[in-house]
Amino acid sequence: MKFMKIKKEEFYIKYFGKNKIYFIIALLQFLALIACLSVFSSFNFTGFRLLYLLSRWNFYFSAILTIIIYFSLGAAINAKCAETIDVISKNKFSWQKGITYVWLIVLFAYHFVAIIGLIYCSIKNDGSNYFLSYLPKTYLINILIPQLILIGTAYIASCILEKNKIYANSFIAAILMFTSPLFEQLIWREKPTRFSIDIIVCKIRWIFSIFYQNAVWSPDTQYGLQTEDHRLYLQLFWIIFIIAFLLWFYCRESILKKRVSFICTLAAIIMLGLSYLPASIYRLDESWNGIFADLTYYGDNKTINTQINKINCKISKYTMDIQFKRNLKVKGEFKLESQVPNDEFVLTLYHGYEVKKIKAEYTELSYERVGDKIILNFPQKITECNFEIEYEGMSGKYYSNSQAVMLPGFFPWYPMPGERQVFVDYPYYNGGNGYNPYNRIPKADFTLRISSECDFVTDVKKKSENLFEGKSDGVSIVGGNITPIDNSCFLNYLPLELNGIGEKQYLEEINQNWKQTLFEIENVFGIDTSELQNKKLIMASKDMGRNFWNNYFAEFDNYILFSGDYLNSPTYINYLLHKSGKESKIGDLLTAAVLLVDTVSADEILDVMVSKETERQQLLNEIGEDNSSPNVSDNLKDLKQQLGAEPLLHDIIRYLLEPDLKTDQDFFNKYF
Amino acid sequence: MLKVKKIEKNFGKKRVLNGITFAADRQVIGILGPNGAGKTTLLKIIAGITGSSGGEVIFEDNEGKQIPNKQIRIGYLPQNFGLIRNYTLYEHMEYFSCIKGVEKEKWKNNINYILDMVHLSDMKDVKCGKLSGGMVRRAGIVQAFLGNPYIILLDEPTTGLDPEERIRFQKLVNYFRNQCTIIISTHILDDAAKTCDELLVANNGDILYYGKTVGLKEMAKGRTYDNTKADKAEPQVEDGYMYLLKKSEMKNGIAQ
Repeated sequence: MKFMKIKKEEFYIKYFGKNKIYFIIALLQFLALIACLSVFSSFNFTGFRLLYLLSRWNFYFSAILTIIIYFSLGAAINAKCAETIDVISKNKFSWQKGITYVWLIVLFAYHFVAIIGLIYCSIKNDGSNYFLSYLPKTYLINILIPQLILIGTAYIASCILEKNKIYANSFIAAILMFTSPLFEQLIWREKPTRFSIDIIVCKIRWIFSIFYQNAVWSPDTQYGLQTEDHRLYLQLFWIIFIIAFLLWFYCRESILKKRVSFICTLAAIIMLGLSYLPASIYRLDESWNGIFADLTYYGDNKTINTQINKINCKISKYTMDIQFKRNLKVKGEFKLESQVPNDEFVLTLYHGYEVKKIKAEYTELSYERVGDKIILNFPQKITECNFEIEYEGMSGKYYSNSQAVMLPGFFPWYPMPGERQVFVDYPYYNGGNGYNPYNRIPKADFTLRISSECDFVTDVKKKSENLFEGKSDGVSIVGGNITPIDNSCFLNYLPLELNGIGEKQYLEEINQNWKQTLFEIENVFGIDTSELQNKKLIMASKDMGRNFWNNYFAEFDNYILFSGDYLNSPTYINYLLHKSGKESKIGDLLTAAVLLVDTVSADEILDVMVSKETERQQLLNEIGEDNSSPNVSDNLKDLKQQLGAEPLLHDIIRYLLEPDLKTDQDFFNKYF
Repeated sequence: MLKVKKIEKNFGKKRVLNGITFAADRQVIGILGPNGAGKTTLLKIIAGITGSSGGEVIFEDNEGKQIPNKQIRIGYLPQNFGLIRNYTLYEHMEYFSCIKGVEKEKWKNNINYILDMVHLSDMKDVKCGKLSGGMVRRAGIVQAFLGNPYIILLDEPTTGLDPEERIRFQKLVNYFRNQCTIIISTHILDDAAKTCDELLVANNGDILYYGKTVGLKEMAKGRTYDNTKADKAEPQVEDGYMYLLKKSEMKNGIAQ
């Protein structure tokens, strides 16, 4: 009988070989896979980047496979010999079961080659072994499972094919359409005004989001490739649903299997429900309610000044139980203090976090949530109070889930005393908008118990496994694909960014880079770096500041939070200048020039400033615009000759950062 | 031996088979009846494709011991039958032999012999997609007879066959007559008359007649006749059949 079994499979293999189109398509897919792995590996792609590419193109590979599997499954039905085959083989759906054997071989070979290729690429090009431990789960969720789900729908379609060809073809076409990248493009860039149709479409689209989403955007190495728990629930829904359907269809005569099918259906519904629960996910697209939600939310309410703060209290002690699962969940006790007795205090907590409970010790307390504000009301005036707060939620931009965490200390993910501006619109220094990177709280004691499935670092010192204690003026938590470091001024690095160099060399390079940055800040720009030198450095991915302005760098009392490529003097200078907020043509030119120079030198920076301004003046003259402002380029040229490049630049920095000289004219008047 | 005991089948509220009972042992049984009589349903129940709403189908060996259905080799030809286009005819027959559980060493002789009986030997290396409708039908007959099955179920086997091919079919049936039980559902009364040992006439799920072919002819004797026939004195199977179905409105005939 075993011999017979083997022989039967030969016929299915023969069928596959005789169908030239199936054979050619499968072969082309293989060749494309091998070509992709070889070419991009030779281009020094890291394993992560290559995996991202495969995830991105997985739909196309899978769709083609699904179509040819569907047609091959239906071959006997379409040929009208399925019934005969089932009867004489005493095995229902015998053809489908037999042809599955062939496709399993094809799929196994395909994935074997893909995995070997990825491992090879990683060993060849990556600077660390991190990717190898990262690969299994990510490959499953982004490559294998979505492909199996799509192929599973081909089985469902082949079951329908028995009853009605049109329904079957329509079913498979619909599945392919809804799971395709085309369907992902159905987003609303602006909030619909009348009816929330975008929310409805989103909810429908979510069921079909089995493939890696928004693949036209490059991925965030810290966040990784969309392996959140609730995406897994969605995929489990599909797998269990397909099993339930096939059990019911293939084993209709068996009451036991029908019962199992029913239980599976219930389990599938539960999984689907779990996947729909609100969760922090990081998806890059242009929809108004994703990463750009706050552009709409703050809208016309964006103030143009970063200086507006109404602080009538401070929180001196934070004791927080923090959980990162579906989203951020915090249970905390805080000590509120005020110099002036008051019965109303305002805190700032990002509006995406829903306050579940606030309770004060020894006194009554009521509260009101208005946007980002929490307004605490007491029955009598007080100067001090311990209160408990529970809140839970998410931000579209600053993610916090079991996969990764990006919670910068300037972002009110924890209650900040006073009314703070969360989002700013810069009217000067070339404009732009972003999250306010200058929010700081009066230095407070933090005790954090953090429960997270991913690796993370925080500026607060680690006392034991999940306990962190220390003082901070703005606590940051950065987690995901990070590697914590000991014995270095850097607290962590991003292992998936290492390309072509090992960990040791990389750390040497970033240390060297930091020293160079300090040198430039001190010598080129004339800023004292004695405090900077002693600060710890926390590295976040570029997505901390992606698509927004001035969010790649933030300086706190004890540490610096920065994005990978942005630990340099131009970024630092821009950060400082935007903080000072002086309306100045010189400032405009300087913030632009530092980003344009090849080498950070006073000479080059000033030359670029002069040439940019000269070009602008010429353009204004050509179009006949009024050009009555001080002749900045000529003045700078003269001053450079007079003072020298470095002293001039130092003076410019002092002028822009300090409040004594108000305008560019005031600055030039010092010398002329 | 095949025993069909009180088979009932309902599709929703409609009763399609109403207590069908018969037995056969190495005989050829013909099932006759108008469209919707339940012939195909009965064949499918015997084949195990469809379950019955009541009754049972039993297979017994020579000693009267029941044989599990899984161990019964069945030959089956449904009303709508086709072939997978990319196989050659011979390869397809090999495939059918394989899934029937026929020993590999017996394939070649068995396939060639039966192909020859239906005059398809010349087409064995032709891809099935290139065969005509009649050839496909004959191929269907071939696969049903492959491997010396215990029981062969044929649903309208000669539909689309020309007279010469029908004669070959009758010869094929006659060859296998005493080797296995053959059940043929057909509208072509001539085929039934020439090949079947017993006939079962069904209508609306009920058996109107079950017995020898000659018995059906005798039933019509003296009851109805068609004055267009050359030999009015000798009733044929169709006469008995038409009598049973009460469609015998004939000129000068007597309707019973």
